[in-house]
Amino acid sequence: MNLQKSLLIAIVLSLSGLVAWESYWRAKPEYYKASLEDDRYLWAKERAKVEIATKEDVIIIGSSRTGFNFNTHIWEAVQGVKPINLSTDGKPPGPFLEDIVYNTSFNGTIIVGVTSLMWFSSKDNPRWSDAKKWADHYHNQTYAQKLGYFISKPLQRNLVMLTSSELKFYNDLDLKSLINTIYFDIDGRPDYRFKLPNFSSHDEDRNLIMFPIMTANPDFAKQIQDVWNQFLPYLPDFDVVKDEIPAIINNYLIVINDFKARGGNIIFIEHYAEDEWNKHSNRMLPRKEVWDRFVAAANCPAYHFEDYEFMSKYTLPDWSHMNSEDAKSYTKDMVNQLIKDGHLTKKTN
Amino acid sequence: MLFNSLSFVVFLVIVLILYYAKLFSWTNKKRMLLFASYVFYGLWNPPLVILLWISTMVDWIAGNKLAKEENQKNRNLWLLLSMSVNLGFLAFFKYGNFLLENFTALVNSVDIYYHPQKMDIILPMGISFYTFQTMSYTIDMYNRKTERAKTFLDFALYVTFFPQLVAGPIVRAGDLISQFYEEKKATINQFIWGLFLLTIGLFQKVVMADTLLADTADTVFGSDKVLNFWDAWSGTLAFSGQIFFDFAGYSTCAIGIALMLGMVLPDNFRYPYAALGFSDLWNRWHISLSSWLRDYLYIPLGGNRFGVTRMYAALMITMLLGGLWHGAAWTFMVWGGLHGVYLILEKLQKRYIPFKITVWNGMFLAFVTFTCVNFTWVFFRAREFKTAWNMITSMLFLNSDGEKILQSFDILKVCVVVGLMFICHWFMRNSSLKEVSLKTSPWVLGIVWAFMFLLIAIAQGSGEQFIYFQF
Repeated sequence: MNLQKSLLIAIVLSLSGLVAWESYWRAKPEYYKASLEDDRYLWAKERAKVEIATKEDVIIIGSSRTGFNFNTHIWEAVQGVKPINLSTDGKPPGPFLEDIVYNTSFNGTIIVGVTSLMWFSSKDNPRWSDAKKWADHYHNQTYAQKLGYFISKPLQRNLVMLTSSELKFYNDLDLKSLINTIYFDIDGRPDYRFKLPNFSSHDEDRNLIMFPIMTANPDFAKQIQDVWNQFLPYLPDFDVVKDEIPAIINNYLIVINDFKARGGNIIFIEHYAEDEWNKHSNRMLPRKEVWDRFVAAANCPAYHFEDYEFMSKYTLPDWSHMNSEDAKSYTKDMVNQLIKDGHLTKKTN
Repeated sequence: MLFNSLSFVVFLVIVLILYYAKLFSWTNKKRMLLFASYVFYGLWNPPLVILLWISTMVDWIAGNKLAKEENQKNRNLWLLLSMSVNLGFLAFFKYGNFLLENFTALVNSVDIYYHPQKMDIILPMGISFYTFQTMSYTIDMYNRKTERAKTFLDFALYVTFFPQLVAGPIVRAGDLISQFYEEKKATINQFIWGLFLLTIGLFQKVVMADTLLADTADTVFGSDKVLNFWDAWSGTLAFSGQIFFDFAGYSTCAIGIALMLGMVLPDNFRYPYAALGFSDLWNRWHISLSSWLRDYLYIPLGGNRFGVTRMYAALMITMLLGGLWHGAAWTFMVWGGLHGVYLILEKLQKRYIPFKITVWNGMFLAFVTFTCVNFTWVFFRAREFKTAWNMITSMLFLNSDGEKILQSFDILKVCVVVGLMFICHWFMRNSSLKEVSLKTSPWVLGIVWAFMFLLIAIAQGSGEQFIYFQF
């Protein structure tokens, strides 16, 4: 056994393999881009800002529409306050609202971006527990994890091959995601595939930025639309879920009232989606029966895209999210509207 | 700190540089290793290092007293002190809520109203491992089977040595402390072999356990449905493979890292899924725990010295407590109890219907052993008896209309991975990695090494904790 020779061979082959692997994925810049992963660590870093936030601060929570549609840099330019961006792709914001209300003394403004399918989901929804894991991670992360994250940041920023999401439904580049693209069926087993082509990157302030190819190439955008079509037509009708809604609303009302009681402001914003999406979403959660009832009970400022022309004037490449340029103008209009209505104050230095 | 994390890579590089740089004397190198071990543990939860210190101090003092004390009554008291502190830690931190729950159920059953709140107790990582290790020192001192550690530094390092601190192997004092007396330095070949073992261990953990098997096991055992035969077996086989790769991976990493420092740790796994029967299994699975239980529990309980009935009772008690060592739940007791029953049945078979093992019936026997072991894993993995019972009935074809929750590819993946693992164990059962690598060309070894490294890098890993850290 010549171990030194084996080690040398292993080093040469490993390095060559890694360079080849990285080069292969770098050659697809329209699909993959090196950036810090938007994972629980990056979220926890943002969450830590809440501990020192003041009455003047703004926190944004919501799901992917909120992440794509709001740009915190533009927000800061318009209002003079940089919001703390706690929106999360693929997760309902409920657990984060509870975390802010019950684990901090924050009494500023919370902007809740609403995607009805996410916001009005019950605590039994697995995505609710996924979101809760992130909130718990902030409180429980160890020094070893913090150190590991600190070390991994330069690698994530520079290596495309590290594209990997905690969400199981993107075509990521980690081995598990790659293996899970394999599918065949022998005896009528369920098909859980829900693979979204990567269609965004994000900056280190957690703003989701849609790849330009989504606007430039309708065929690419159609791949996303096709994924939505895998489940949208199968959403249940309102009759099936209507009994769950009052409990969901009541649960939120307790949290909202506790937050308001300590002087906090909370504003709800239902983002625009294309008709191809809305027709199914409305079938399951009709505005009149759900949103309107919730807003009336919550007694908070609320903005629905159907009521404001500036909110629904965009064309969404995948029916659900805005491209980065539209997000900038949408954010600007939205913040100006909130200032105009007296819900936000423009900070002047 | 986890071996499968970037922070550990940086930590290990720094430790190796300090260890091999000519900056320190041997004593200072040991101090550095001790400090590094506390950092390794403390980066998870700093206050819990205090438990390590208490355990170290108590057993150091007890060991010193036992080395000098001749009065048997006093010797018993020193042993009792060590046992009380170590087992007390275990009882409070690991079994506190379990004991409370069962006490509550007991008093409620006789109509006494008592509903205490669950205690908010953090389970210190690896507490079962380091308490058993320190206890072995004191018990060996009591039985005059080992020498007193020469210095407190040597003893503290024995308790805290970071490669095996949180998940073993549980090393006896005689095997490790004496290695600290003389300056240790790995030869180049030892160092490279240690690095190779570290790579294999990480490959087992990150690629085999976490990437290929964990999701299937989690999906099946996390389901509240009554499952189809194939799904139940796939979940069980997936866990069977996952726990082996996870735990053997940790042990292999530990052995490799220690070897890079010039220290030798004992094997903890010897291809257990090719075991021919259950005595053989326990000579191959978690060897350092099974030998600990044999030497400090089974033999003191009488072993095979007082007749067959006493032997079976000792065996069953040992396995039940072995089950409880793994976790504070009745399901773990059932797991241990099943292994106890298997061992007793095997002893009866050997006594009344002995047969010669050949190559052909050997493979069948290994397969039967592996199959029986899989039934025990159901109780080990399931959090509730209801889940375990549903799984067992599905595995026995009793739920013909059980639900299909896995995709066809998941089932094929598990069957291929676990099938290859079983075949690999069978062909390696009388050999070792070292032996095989000696016969392998450097090119092949290098290619295999690179392949494993590449898959680890591509797998990325999400820093999943090792399963045995919770024990």
